[in-house]
Formats: sequence, structure tokens, C-alpha cells
Amino acid sequence: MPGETVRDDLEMEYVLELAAAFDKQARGHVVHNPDITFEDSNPLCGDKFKVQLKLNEDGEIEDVGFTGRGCAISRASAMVLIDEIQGRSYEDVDDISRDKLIDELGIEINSAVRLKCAGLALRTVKSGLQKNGYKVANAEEEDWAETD
Amino acid sequence: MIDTRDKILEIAPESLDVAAIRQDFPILDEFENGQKVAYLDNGASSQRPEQVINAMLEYYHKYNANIHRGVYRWSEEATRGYEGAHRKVARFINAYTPREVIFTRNTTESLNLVAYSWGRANIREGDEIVSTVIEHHSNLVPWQVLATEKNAGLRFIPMTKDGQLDLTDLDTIVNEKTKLVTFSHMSNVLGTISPVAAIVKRAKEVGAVVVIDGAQSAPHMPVDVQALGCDFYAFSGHKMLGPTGIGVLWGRRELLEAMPPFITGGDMIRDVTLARSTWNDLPWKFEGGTPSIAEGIGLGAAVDYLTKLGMDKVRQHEIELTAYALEQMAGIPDLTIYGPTDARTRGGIISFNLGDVHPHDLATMLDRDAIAIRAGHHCCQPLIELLEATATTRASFYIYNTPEEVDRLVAALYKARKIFHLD
Repeated sequence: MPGETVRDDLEMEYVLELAAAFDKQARGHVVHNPDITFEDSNPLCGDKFKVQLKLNEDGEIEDVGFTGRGCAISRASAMVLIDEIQGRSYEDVDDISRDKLIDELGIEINSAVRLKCAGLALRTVKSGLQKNGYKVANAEEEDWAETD
Repeated sequence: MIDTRDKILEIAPESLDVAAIRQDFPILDEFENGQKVAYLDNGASSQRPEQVINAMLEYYHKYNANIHRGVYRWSEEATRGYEGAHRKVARFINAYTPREVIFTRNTTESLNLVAYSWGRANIREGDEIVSTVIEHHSNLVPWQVLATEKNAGLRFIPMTKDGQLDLTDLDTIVNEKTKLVTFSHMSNVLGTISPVAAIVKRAKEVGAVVVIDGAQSAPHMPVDVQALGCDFYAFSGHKMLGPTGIGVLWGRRELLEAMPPFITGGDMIRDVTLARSTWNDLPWKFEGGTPSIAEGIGLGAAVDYLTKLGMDKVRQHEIELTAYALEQMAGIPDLTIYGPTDARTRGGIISFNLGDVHPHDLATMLDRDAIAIRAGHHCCQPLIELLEATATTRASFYIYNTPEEVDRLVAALYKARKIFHLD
């Protein structure tokens, strides 16, 4: 069949594994006395993430929990994000870009719509930090489609 | 229960010459990932034939000028093209006169025009507006805003399990308080064709104005606004081979005459003093500012194209293709298809879900096989909730789609079952 390549299966396999790991480890994980609770959604599909963050006085992220629904790409990128920010300072969140998460997923995303999926968790975390007075770069701009 | 569905066209005209039609759409020869694109997202927007693109090019190349003002040939020709397009549209939907045909930007703007102009002048506290649970956000949000502003009630016609409008309680939902009833002619998620006659009959018994969202019906089936018996009918150019940026609101002349303008300013006035103004004739009273001239001319060319094909043939082609697709897809394990199963009671729109695979992930897989479909809530969040889904994947057909493209979709769905470990 045209287009049926091993690549498709393998690429998606890793994303599906990460998404499953997210469901098991992070989705529904309740953070006790969270400092930040923030919900964001992808208006194109109605997918929604709510993040809870617990930070210590040094601004280190001690605990992260997510609830909500999302596609495999949004859940997989959330899993990568959690691994990146757990135990790190909120300032390090600034160094994480959507492109970096996509690199970690090991897939190529050309669609502007799917880019929003890959960026949903990151946007939720950054906006949550921002709305609570932590200085991080604006995550909204990253969602804007670009032309060459 | 009495079958309240409208009589669906049962004639069997000759089929469309799809091979010849495809010659008019060079974009359909474009390749993605090594194959021609199977464009199955016509519910969102159609492609445009050479005839439409050329009509717009010709305007820009040969007689580009503003309308209604210049006394030189270019402007006069532009005016002829733009006004002529209103006449073509009027014939296409069997309006009494082109004066009843208002060009807007799209269906959303057409519906907002009714809500802002007719709605604000006629809806009062305690009145009721009736819509349905299957509406596109564009035929829901303007009425929410109007109802809130006027302290009016908003009621909804429910849906049966198989995705038809449920008219069991129509007589209580539409009652003496009802001032306006609005519903989509064809659902953009389920493809269901609404029982227009029954709803219009009840609305007229209580003297309510009827608005029909024709965004999905005007491109795909014969539409006769006089026969439908509605008061307003709204649709978009870009879903029916025309360009984006141009839509239509048809309204009954006596209603349009009595309504205040929506967008005020240039071209919509008769006389202006510093203190007050009087309004231009229909439809210009509702077309304030320089309109989308090339797009209007393009829409005229699109209407010519469809008229030449014959809308009964367009409808027949889609019944055949949808029946074939429903039959082929029925055999795919784990596939849930939403809406009625009889192609004659629905348009060429099929919403589905494959197991618990997220529609976005499925769409990405299909995209790799150069199959363009839509995934998401299709601007119908309340309906998607009723389907107990978070989103659906949607294939929607048009005049240039073929059974071979349906076969490619089906093959890709089988492949996706493997990738997502459903087998």
C-alpha cells in the first residue's frame, strides 16, 4: 500500500509509549496544596489540560500534576515536559521551547494545528506561572503560525 | 411516530462526469507524500475550479475598479459583474428578486446581520428564540448574545439517538412566546438534513420568523427559498466552489425593508447630512463600505459552474458516494459512525471515531497518506458533548470526489488500527 512505511509505525510507537506513561504517572496525580492551578485548552479541538504545581521557596518545582484530556501528541509532550521541569527552578522552564519538546518526541510535525497539540502542556505551565507572578517568557507567541 | 422528514429527492439523473470535473481543479493534481491528495474536507471549505479563479483574475487584470461610483468603463464593468453575481445567486436559490440577496463575508456574518438588525429591533424581554442542539457555533452564539442582551429565553429542539432533530415536543418548544426559530438545513457534523417543512409550519402557526443556516446545504443540494418557506437563509461562498470572504444572506423583502442597517457608512446611504442619514435601496443598505468585489464576481462564476452541472446531479453524486463510503466503512472494526445510516436522508458528511484514538492523532496518520480530513469539534461543542465524544474525525465529499478516494480512506483506517494497536 502506498505510504505504508515502517517509519510511521515506529515514530508513532514512541509517542504512544510516552502518552501511556503520562496517563499512568501524571494524569490524575493530585498535588497537595498546589501553589498554582491553571487550566488551558486547545480551541481547535476542545482538548483541555489543568496543571497543578507545587514550588518551594527557592522557586523549584517540587511536584507537577495534570488532569484533562488530550491527543497522543499533547499527552506525550506533557510527559516530556514533566521530566524536564520536575525538581528544576521555574526559571529553567523558560529554556524549554515547543520545538525542543517535539525534538524529544522524535517526530516531525508540519501541521500548525498539531503544533498547538505539542505545545498545549507547555503553554499551560508557562501561563500558569505567569498568571501567578513568576517571570517567564510569553508562551502565547509560540503558538502563532509562521510563514517562510 | 410520524415521519416528519422532508421528501428527499428520489430522481436518478445521469451521474456527474467526475473525470471531466477534476480537469477544472488543478489543485487536485498536487502531490503530498508521493500521492495525489484525497481532499475530503469539503465541509470546511471546497476547492475552486479554474473558471472561478479566472473570473477573479480577469477582474484584477482587466477592469479592477470600485463599484457604483466611477463613470468610466472599468468601474461600470465591475459594477455589472458584482451586481450580476447577486442576480445569479438569486436565480440559484429561487429568490423573488436580487434585491433580497445581500452579500456578506460568510454565513457567520449573515447570521449576525439577522441577530443584530432584525433581532435587536424585534426581540423583547420575555420573548423566546428557538434553535437546536446540533447547531454550528455561528448559529448559536449570536442568539445567546441577543437573548442575554434582551433578557429573552433561548430554547432548543433536541436530537434523537440517530442524529435527527427530535420534533416530539416541537409544539411546546415553539409556542406563542417564540419570535424566531433558527436551525441548520444540514448538520456540518452528522450530515443530517433537517425536517424543514414541519419546523416552518409550526413556526408560522405562532407567527415566528424562520432563519435557516444553509452553509452545508446550498453547496450540495437544490435550494429553493420560496419552497422552503423560511424568512432568512444564510450561506458561504467558499464551501460552494467560490472564494473566501464572500457569503450570502437572503431575506424576505418586506422584512429587509423594515430592518435597520447593520454596518453603516459608505455605499449604504441615500442622503447624508451632519444630523442624519437615509438608507440606500436593498441590498446595498446592508452592504456598507467597499465590498469584496473580486470575491463577489468569483461567487457568480461558482454559481454558474454549479448551475451548469445541475444541483440535482450534484446531490445524486453525493448520495451515491456517501452510500458507498458508509457501506465500506461499516465493515471496519472499532469504527463508530455518527448520524443516520441512510445516505438519502443525509448529506455527504461522515463523522466517525476509531476506537479511543484521538481524532487529531488519526488525522495525522491519514495526512501521511495524503488524505485530507477534519478532526476536532467542528465548531459544534454542544453536539459533540451529546455524542459523548470529545471530538470526531470527519470526511466530507463534493463533486470531484471518487470511490477510489473513499477506498484510500478505508485502507488508511485499517492501517491506523494496526498503528494504534486496535487489532
